[in-house]
Amino acid sequence: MANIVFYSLSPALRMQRRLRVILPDSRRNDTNLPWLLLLHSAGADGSRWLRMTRAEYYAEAKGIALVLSDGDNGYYTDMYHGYAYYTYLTEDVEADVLRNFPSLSRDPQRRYVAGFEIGGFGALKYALDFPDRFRAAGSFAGGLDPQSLDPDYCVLAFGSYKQAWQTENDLFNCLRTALTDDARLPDLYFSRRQQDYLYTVTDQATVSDRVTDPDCVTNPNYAAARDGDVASDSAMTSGHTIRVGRLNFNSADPWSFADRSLAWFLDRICPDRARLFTPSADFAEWDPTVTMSAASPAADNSAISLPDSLAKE
Amino acid sequence: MSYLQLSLYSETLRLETTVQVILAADPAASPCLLLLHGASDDDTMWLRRTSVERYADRYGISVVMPNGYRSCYTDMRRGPAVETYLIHELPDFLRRHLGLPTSRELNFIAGLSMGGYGALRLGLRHPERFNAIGCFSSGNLLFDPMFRPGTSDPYGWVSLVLGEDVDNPSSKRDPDFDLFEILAAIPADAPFPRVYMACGRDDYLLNCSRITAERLAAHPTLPFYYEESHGAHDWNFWDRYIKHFLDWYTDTEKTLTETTTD
Repeated sequence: MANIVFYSLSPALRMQRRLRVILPDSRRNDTNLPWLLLLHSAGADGSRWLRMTRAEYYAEAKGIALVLSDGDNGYYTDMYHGYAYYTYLTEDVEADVLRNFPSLSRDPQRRYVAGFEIGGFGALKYALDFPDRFRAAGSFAGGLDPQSLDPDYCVLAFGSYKQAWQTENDLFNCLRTALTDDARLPDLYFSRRQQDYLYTVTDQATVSDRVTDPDCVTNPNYAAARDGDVASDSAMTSGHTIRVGRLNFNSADPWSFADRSLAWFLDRICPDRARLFTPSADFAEWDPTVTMSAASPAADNSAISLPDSLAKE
Repeated sequence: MSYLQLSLYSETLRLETTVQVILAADPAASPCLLLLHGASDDDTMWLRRTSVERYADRYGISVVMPNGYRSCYTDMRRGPAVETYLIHELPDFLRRHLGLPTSRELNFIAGLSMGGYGALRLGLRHPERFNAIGCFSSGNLLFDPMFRPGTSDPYGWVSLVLGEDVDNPSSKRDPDFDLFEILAAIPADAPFPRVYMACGRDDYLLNCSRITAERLAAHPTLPFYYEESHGAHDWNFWDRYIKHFLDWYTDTEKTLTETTTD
């Protein structure tokens, strides 16, 4: 695939920034390319997706372009003590793409966003804040609750846990609000690991198990999500697509998990081209609206029962 | 202004190749210079050895710097088809995916040494694509006595570009590679690019440069400017002269010239 490393000055960050754009060879003559904005994890940069996974190979197989932005350790947030990484993502990267890459589609039905760990947080945050920009969003082991993150970074990014509540950084609140709304949501895909220290919306663990900060309180929206209330909200039946993929291996090899999550996500958003992901014994996928009615999800992280339609995939 | 590094598979070259691009603020509406490197360089050298990005920013010009390998920017007789890549495949890609212009009024070409020959050859073979040519420290290189068959062929120009056998050279030189033949073949009603040539007085190619300049100056229609100055076949000269060339191209009186280097 054609690889472009693009350098420009970001007005929001007041820094020279680097953006990687990967264009599929199989669509060299196409000027309306579907594309995925892919966000990295903390301490990484856009190049890590290319180096540690088969992202470029998968994207070529699906005929999708990739845009890899660099978020430093900014948590894709306009930091409380730090720089405006969210404005950079949503305004400057957007402006760079519109101004300099005419073959990347302007059609929201051909745009996707996804990310790994804090990149999952960033992707979901972006998709819930700008639902008209994307067709689907993916959060791979996404750290959705600021209270679960490294306290040092948390303070720099959000101020304090309480300060993140009911802002665009409180994704449980954003998700709950979005799901009770009739407005269009991008299709949402979550992948999680068994031993995650970062939560997805369906994790069972309580906040108090992981943080000892006396200032930490239980986010009422988190509790609701934990108990499956979000999943069973009646608004879910209005047609929002949410899928959760669960890979039951531990996080000793995080980028391997990221690679498989990406393959699974691309198969879901682009089902008509080359099959990339082969489910195995350690993978289960379910649709929360189907299997989680009034009951809470299983408390012990063991196998989740699948509806028959998915069991054989 | 922005800068990007492009790596792409070229069907024409059958090679994964790289291009350095300086982008004006509004690439589709700004002049675009195709800037060619010398025989011992690659696509990164203009950026590394000169302040070309700073000069291009001042004038709002995009600059495309491809890798020309040792091709003299030709469709080599024994080697990759770099001319076809530069005239067709690459501009199509740049237009489609980066919004760079392909019109004649917004495109010009320049180069140093092997790239100077390349700029003259491509500009004169495709006058409908380029409105100006810059040639630094070069001339009708492949026909210079220095590169006659029977002498050494350090860059493979005789055997690979021209496709001749060094030990058994043909008596007839291929007119496709002779700048004077190419010039003579341009129809009288064609749009002629304006040509700017420069060479340093201590340059070992000075003689080649002068012979070429005389022939181009003698053409009745070709707009032609030639300048010699102190300097040799080196990056000090080329940093100065890419600046002078851009001054000339944009018709600006010495706005970029710094007295300490002139």
